[in-house]
Amino acid sequence: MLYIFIAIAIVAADQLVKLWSVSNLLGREPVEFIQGILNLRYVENTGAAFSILTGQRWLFIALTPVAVGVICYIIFAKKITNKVGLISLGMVLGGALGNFVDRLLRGYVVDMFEFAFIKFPVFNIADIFITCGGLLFIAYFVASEVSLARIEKRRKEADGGTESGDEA
Amino acid sequence: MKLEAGNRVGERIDTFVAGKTGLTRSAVQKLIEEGCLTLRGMPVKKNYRLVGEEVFELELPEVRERGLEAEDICLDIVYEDSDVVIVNKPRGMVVHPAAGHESGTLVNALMYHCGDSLSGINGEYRPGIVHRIDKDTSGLLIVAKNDMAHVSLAEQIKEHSCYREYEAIVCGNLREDSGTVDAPVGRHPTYRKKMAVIRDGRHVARNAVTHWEVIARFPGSAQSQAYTHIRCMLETGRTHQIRVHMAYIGHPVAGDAVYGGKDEFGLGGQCLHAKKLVFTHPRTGERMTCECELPEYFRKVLTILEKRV
Repeated sequence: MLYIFIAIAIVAADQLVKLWSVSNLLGREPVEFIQGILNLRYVENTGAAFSILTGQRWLFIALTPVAVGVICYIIFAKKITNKVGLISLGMVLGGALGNFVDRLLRGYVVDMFEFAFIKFPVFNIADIFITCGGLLFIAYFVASEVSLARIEKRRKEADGGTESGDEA
Repeated sequence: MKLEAGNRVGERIDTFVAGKTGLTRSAVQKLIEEGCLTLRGMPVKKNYRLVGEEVFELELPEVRERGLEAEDICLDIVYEDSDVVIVNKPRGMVVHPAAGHESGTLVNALMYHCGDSLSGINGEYRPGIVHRIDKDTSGLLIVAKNDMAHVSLAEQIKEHSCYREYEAIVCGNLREDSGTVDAPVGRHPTYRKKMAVIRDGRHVARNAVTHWEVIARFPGSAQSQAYTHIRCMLETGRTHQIRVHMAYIGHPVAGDAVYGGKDEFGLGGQCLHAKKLVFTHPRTGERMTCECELPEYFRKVLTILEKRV
């Protein structure tokens, strides 16, 4: 499955960046990454994405398999078959697993990206994919509802239209 | 028939004509080779590209001369006027002649019924045919009786404004009450006569969307298989679309052995009926709805299932 592969690739990329951060950023002052936009700062986070619900390690360790299970069920049982919908789920799945690995093995999540121009929690690759995947999923969902509404409209119009079948 | 290029500059002539008429590109190329397409009285070359604002003249070969025989086969005509005819095709009838099915097709029957008045655009073997229904699928099919109607209907099919609704019995009990399958359909990579959901990017596939909703459930028991009576609303109309999509989500159409559907009722084909058709009338511009009853084979299956409950 292509979409599971997307998730695996995200986990790999996320873990590599985290490993690099541990060896290069740990115990140092934040460094400028992209001037005025992104700094690199090593943070150990015990909460969810963007440091919400800090300290609930076991809650997340328990919740992640549930989320992963639901997403895998949706993908494998073909409850969603649209490409964009599946890609967005693959992204969320990869991000969730990336942080899950941290919580399980380290007990905390390693974050390293910090916006230079605004006060915003430090985040990592997994957070980026969870957020973008989530937004993409909402976009997919709205689009699919719109197309469904269009079909419904045609059906209504059909029911109210000329019943030519009786004329023949 | 006149075809105006307008501002479409640089487009290949066969692509342009195919788009305007609903013909296949190869059919158009054949017509061009035969000199049927002219520009200011001169035959157009096959590799011609549009320069914009030309007006082509397409002369279609006469349907009758081509040796396709009109046959007196009883047809269930649901609607007919001087532009279109809507037929309720029985299951088992092939729409147009092809290898292995030279006679007894819907086209043969229509030629008898309509006489000379069938649009010749789609070539010698498919006069008036703007869309198809599988051999073993029953239900409504709209046919063009003149070129004006053909161009209009082909365009409606292409831009999905011709709305079609099917009813089917599928294997198994669908979990939800409604859903959508949105997965590209293309030719099966190994079984050339089958279609399949294709996502590998290496094989040709076209996007296809099927919305479905449950009409009735027949949950089955320890001894008997579950079935669901569903309604399918099509956004696209690819070959075998409903059959492939329902099989893809694990609920093949009952009787559809090609795609893994059990044939418990001895149907010898899929239990699928094109029940409703909505289109814009080519002449009046009026939105028209055509609907027909479920055919006997379908009702029989429903009766058997209802008795089980």
